[in-house]
Amino acid sequence: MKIIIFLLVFFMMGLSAQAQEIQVKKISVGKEFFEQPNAQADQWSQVPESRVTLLPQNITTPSLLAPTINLVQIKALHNGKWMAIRVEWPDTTDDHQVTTDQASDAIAVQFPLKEGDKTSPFMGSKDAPVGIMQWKALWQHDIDKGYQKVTDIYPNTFYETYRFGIKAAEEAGNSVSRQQRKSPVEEYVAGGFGTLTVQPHQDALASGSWLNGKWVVVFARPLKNSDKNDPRFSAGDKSVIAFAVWEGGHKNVGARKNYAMWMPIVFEKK
Amino acid sequence: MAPVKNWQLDRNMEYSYEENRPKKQLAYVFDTNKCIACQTCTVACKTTWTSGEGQEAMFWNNVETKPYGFYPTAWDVKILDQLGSQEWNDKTYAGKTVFEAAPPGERVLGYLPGDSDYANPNLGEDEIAGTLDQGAFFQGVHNAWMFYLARICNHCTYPACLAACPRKAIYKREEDGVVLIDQSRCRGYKECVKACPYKKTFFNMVTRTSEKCIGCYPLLEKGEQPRCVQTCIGKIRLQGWLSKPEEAQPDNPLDYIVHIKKVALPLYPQYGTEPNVYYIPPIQVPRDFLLQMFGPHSDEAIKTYKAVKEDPKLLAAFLLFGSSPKTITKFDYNEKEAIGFNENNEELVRVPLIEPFFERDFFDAKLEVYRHNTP
Repeated sequence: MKIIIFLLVFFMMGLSAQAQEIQVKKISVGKEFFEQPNAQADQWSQVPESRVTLLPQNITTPSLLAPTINLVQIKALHNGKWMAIRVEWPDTTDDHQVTTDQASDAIAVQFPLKEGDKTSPFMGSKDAPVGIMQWKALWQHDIDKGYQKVTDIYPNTFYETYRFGIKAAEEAGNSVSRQQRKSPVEEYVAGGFGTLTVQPHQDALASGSWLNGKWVVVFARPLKNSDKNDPRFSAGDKSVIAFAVWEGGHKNVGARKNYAMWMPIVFEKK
Repeated sequence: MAPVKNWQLDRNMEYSYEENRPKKQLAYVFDTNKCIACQTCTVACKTTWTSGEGQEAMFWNNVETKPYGFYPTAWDVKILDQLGSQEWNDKTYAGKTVFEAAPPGERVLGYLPGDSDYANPNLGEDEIAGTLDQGAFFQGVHNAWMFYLARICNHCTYPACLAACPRKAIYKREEDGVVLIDQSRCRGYKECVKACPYKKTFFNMVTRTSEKCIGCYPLLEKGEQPRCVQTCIGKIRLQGWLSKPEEAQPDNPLDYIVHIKKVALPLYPQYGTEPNVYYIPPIQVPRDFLLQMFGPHSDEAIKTYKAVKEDPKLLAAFLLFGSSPKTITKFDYNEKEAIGFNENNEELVRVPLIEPFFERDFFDAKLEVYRHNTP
């Protein structure tokens, strides 16, 4: 049954994906454009926008049965050495806290590390891994306003034994618990469901902001580098790209996400 | 899904992974009849493991008053309500487990509690099940009831938390059956919090990962019982290693109590996780409540418990509760004493079956004081 759904979804998305292609426009901008990603920069007005439809992830469990975000608007540019992707999507709430019943808004961008048509869009596969960049509203808030404390959410919390406590996950080196976070984006490599692994070397940059019911996030990364877990691109290349969006207000987390299948992406040559 | 044997249900059931029992299984017996809800276990656990930031409302061990006590709020009745019919054909479970009843898109039937559900760990404390008729207090036995239910992670044979984790960040240790969340791998998806029908995995909003009872494995590895067991002043708890039913050893106190005498029963066996904390049911509680909470062996368990005076071996096993900080893996008894041994057959403890009776003179000549009971 799952295979039939998979094929059906693949076929349907194939049809819609054919109609679209994301153009990574070549624009002459300096390195600082990428080092401090800015969604409002003038250069974005020169870049054509693509609209990408999202589907609820119900290929594997745990699933999202109904979509919570339907559409993302994409713009992308490069300068021959760096690339940037600007993603915009409607979300009525800015969800940037996590508790048992709160989850963070987030977005991820995925590229194949080998040739796209041989790689599963669903977190890649063992022999054809994918590279992923994920931005979270929670992490952006950590950087902009400081790491979330219990009293940020429940101001009257009083506790006097903190000095005896440990933060096991932080001590174990888990990146999700890192209090001294420097970036709102994290890079992963994956080779199938459940294999998401934080890359030892982090190269991506990002910045996001929520205004008037919309998130706008800009990712930036070098087109190529020496990291074997990163995709390598050159002007004129064709590849594929996929997206995932989480709506924290609906408790979207992990596999409970909205996703877009592989879309063709072309890096303008000139 | 794979078919696995669940002896508590007396049938096979569907589980996310194949049957893979550990070399030995961490297990506990709790005697609900002896618990006074002093919460010493709760505090021992709290000060040992969950005194940090993000763990303010986290109790890996809690003691709640049944029927109206819950931590988190309504944890059991919410799942029981969703699970549908939970009939037993004699001793075989005819209903669905939390795995078999999983709705579309889910691995396990569950629900995610809200923050406020953890805010009232003493909800319903000491409340009785009903009101007393006027004057009933003076008429001897009456029908109002309550009891204390001490709860920790059940270190299930088929953990729902483990089945639900899409990252395989939860594992069951091969050497002792302890169920752990790998804190370096967890990404805080809370699928385990949602799935555990006993609600014994918790989300930590500071580390942003899920955390749970670790069975005090550093103590287990030293041959010692966990903190909640060692500190229990009511001596209601015994920790040990439980064999498979067909391999039960009559000289293993846990095997004897659970498998051979069947006097201690799993909590909500119908969930299907094969939990490994076994409860001696409270004898004063209505039968229907016990059947729902501890399964179809409740009647026999209470009968056996009430007859313990005529069963010196069972009495000996019971008297080992709280007798030693060490894990008792083997026991023996004679007409006077219960004797506990460790895995190397070294004697750990001797407990008299009947406490010696001393009668002393009213006047203590040595200290020149009168002895008397101070009320």
